[in-house]
Order: sequence, then C-alpha cells, then structure tokens
Amino acid sequence: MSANLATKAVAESDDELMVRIAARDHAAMRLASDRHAQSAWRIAYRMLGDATEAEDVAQETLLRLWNHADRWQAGGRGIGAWLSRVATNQCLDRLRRKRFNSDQEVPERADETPLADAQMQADEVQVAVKHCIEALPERQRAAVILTYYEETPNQPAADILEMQLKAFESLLFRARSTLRGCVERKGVTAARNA
Amino acid sequence: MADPEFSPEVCKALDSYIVPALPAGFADRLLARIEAGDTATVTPAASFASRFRRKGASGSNAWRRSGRILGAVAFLSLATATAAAAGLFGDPVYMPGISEALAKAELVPLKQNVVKSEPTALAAKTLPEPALAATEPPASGTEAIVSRLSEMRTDPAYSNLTPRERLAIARKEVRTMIRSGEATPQEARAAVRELARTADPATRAQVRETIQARRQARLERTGRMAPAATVDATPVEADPMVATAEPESEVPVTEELPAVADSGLSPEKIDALREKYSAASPEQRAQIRQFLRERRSSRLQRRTQ
Repeated sequence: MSANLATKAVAESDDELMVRIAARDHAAMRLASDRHAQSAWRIAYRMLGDATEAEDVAQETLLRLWNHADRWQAGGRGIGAWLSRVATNQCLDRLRRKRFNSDQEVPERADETPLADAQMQADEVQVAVKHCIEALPERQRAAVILTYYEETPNQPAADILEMQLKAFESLLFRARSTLRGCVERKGVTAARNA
Repeated sequence: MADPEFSPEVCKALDSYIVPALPAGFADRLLARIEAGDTATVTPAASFASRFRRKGASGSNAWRRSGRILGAVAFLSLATATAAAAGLFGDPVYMPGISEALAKAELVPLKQNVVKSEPTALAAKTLPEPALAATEPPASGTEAIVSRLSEMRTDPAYSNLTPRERLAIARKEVRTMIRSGEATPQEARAAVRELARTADPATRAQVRETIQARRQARLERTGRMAPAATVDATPVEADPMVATAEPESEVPVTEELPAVADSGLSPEKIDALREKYSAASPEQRAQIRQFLRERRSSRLQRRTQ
C-alpha cells in the first residue's frame, strides 16, 4: 500500500514536472535531467559501449523529452520509463545505422574517459563481460540490459522493444543462454572466484 | 540484480560491468543546447526509416516481409502468365498447365442487371405477351427430334422410300421419342415447325402446292367448290415431314383464291387484282379481307338455304 502511494507520488511529481517543462521551465528540465539522465546514460553506455556516444544518446533522449513535453499524457508510467524506451530505441537505431553503413563489425572505440579506461585495464572481468554483451545481437543485448541491469519487469521491457511478452521471453532466454555461455567460456568466473 | 537464469558466479561477473557516472556537466551542456535552440534530434524521415528497420530487419518480421515480397512476385507472375495464355497481349501463348486449364474452363455469361428506363418499362408493361413459340429457343426435346429426323433424311435407304412410307417412319420415330420421354408433343410440333422453317424454297413451294391440292380435294369432296383446273392435285414428292409441318394458316394462299376461281375472272384480271391488293395499305387489306369474309359467309348462307 505504501509502495503504491510512493509510486503515485512519484508519478504525480513526474506529471507536474512535465507540465512545467511544457511551459519551457529550464529549472524543471534540469531537475528531470538530474533525476532520470543517469538511467538513459547507463542503458546507452552498456548498449553502445562508448561513453561519447552514450552521452549523445542521453542528451538526445532528454531533448526529445523537452520537445515532446506538450504531448505528455499524465498518469502513465513516468518519465523514467519513457526515457528508457527512447534511449533503447535510439541505441538500436545507432547500432543498425552502423551495421547498414558498414559490412564490418562495429569498431570498438577506445573510451576516452580516464576513469573507464583505467577500470577496463584494471579489471579483466569487466572487459570480458563487456565484450560478451557487445557480442550479443542488438535486441538480445537490449533485453539483457533492460531486465538484468535496469531491473525492468518483462512486460514493460517487451513494450519498450515493441514485442509480445512471449516473444520477448524467448528472446531473453536466448540472450541469457548466449551471455552465460560466453562468460563461462572466457573463464572470468573461475578467475574471479579464484 | 538477481536473475535465476544466471549462476551466482556469472552474476558476479556481470555485476562487475560497472557504468561510470554520468559525465560532469551533462545537465549544463543539455541546458546550453536548449537555450541555444539546438533542440533538433533525429529528423522525422530518418526516425521513420530507422523505426521501419528496427521493426522489420530482424527475427520473424524479416521472414514475413520476405514472404510478402515472394508472394507478390509469384502472384504477379501467375497473373501475367494467365493473361498471356488467354491472349490478352495478342496471340495466345502456350503456358504449360495454364493453357490446359483455360481450355477446360467453361465460359459462363455474365448476368447483366440492365436497369430499364421508365419508358421502356412502361412499354414492357403495356405491350401484349409476345408469341413465345416464335421467340423461345427450341427446347432440348425439339433439338433431339430435329437431330433425329435430320439423320434419317441423310440415310439413303430412307430417301429411297415413298413419301407415305417416310412419313409413317418419321411419325413412328417421333411417337417413340414422345413415349420414351425424350420429347413432349409440343416439342414435337415445334421440331416439325423448325424443319419446315429451315427447308429450302423449292420444298416449301412444293409443300404449298400440296396443301393447296389437299384443300381443293377437300372442298370437292364437300361439293362446295368447282374443280380447280389450275392446281395439280397429284401428291408431290415433297418431304412428308415438311409437308405435315406447314400449318395451313401459314400457307401464303390468299383467302379469296377460291372465290376468285369461282368468279370466272381472266388470269390478267386476277393478276391485276393481286397487284392492287399487294399495293394496298394494311387498313385497306383488312377492309378487303373483311368484305370477302362477309361475302363468303353470305354465299354459304344462301347455299344452305
């Protein structure tokens, strides 16, 4: 009961925030960015594996929120869910564009951020996992990121990918199997445990 | 991040993939873009294209799209081949399978829902019933009789018989067909009319003469007429079937002919009268016929008295 009230309170505040954004209130936009930009950034970073592109996607996503604020329908799933959906689809579009523009594999760009670079060099497991996630097909990658990392329930995740629930579950099953096999093959679990 | 599908070791490995914090100044850069009016994101056209690709480029959607394309191509090919085999593009082209099917196809006339205009509909209402026997196509029984009798005519053995024998055989054949249910008496009469209609002019002329001779003979028997010297009363070697077919009313012998023969007029006078009659208007002809009928009836009355 208290959880429902909390959700309702958040939803209401999201709606109020959107009303202010629709009125072109920059402070409201900054508040929305502070609250929700992180999730869009995480999704984009894991989907694309590149900090610069992830920031681009996060900015594009929030700009869409700004541009479409006047069409916001109150009582929905909230700004976070909407941004997750937009960010995921933008990532899929970017990955596809790369695939259509070039027959080769998507080149891995070095992450310019010193923190990420240092982490990747330091942590062998993280690099291996990153490679395994990037090796997944686009939609499987999105399914794993949404359900495992973002903890999105299956139905909303299926809605984000515009799929039927059963189809999404099948996709997720294949994604998990592939990812588990990849991680186990790399031996990073044994190395980490050891 | 618990997931029952992953073992704890795999979960640990996955959890190690940590995303760095949002770059510093993200919100500032975002708001700077907004304030500068640089809020354009992906263009609508690109968005639509990418959305189409997103939905249609993988999984079952790709199969569905390929299936649709293949189906459309197959349908168009079949339609073109059928049109070519049917001769829509000029001379028919032989297409294995399609040409055979077209040859077997039965052509069914389309129902035409003709909307009658008001005057036509009114005329259709006010006009009397047309003579069905004259306009109706011959029934199946009629066709069977006509076909059977035509076959018999082509038989040399039948042609060598006398007219009386031929007539007897033909009557027997028609009676057999009526009894067996192949034709009705009405259809038999229609068949005989049909045969008479299709007979050659010489035969028709002979038939007329025969009928005229019979009429003369009948009149002679009844004693009402003087013997007609101009008409040959001997039986004509005409086709008996046709002879019986021609109803007496259809014979183009004018009704005044007996009276003319009775009056003792010269042939020239008779010819002149005929020409005058043929040149007369329908109303005048009707008046003449009426006059002759009245005169004939008055004569008959006088004779009976």
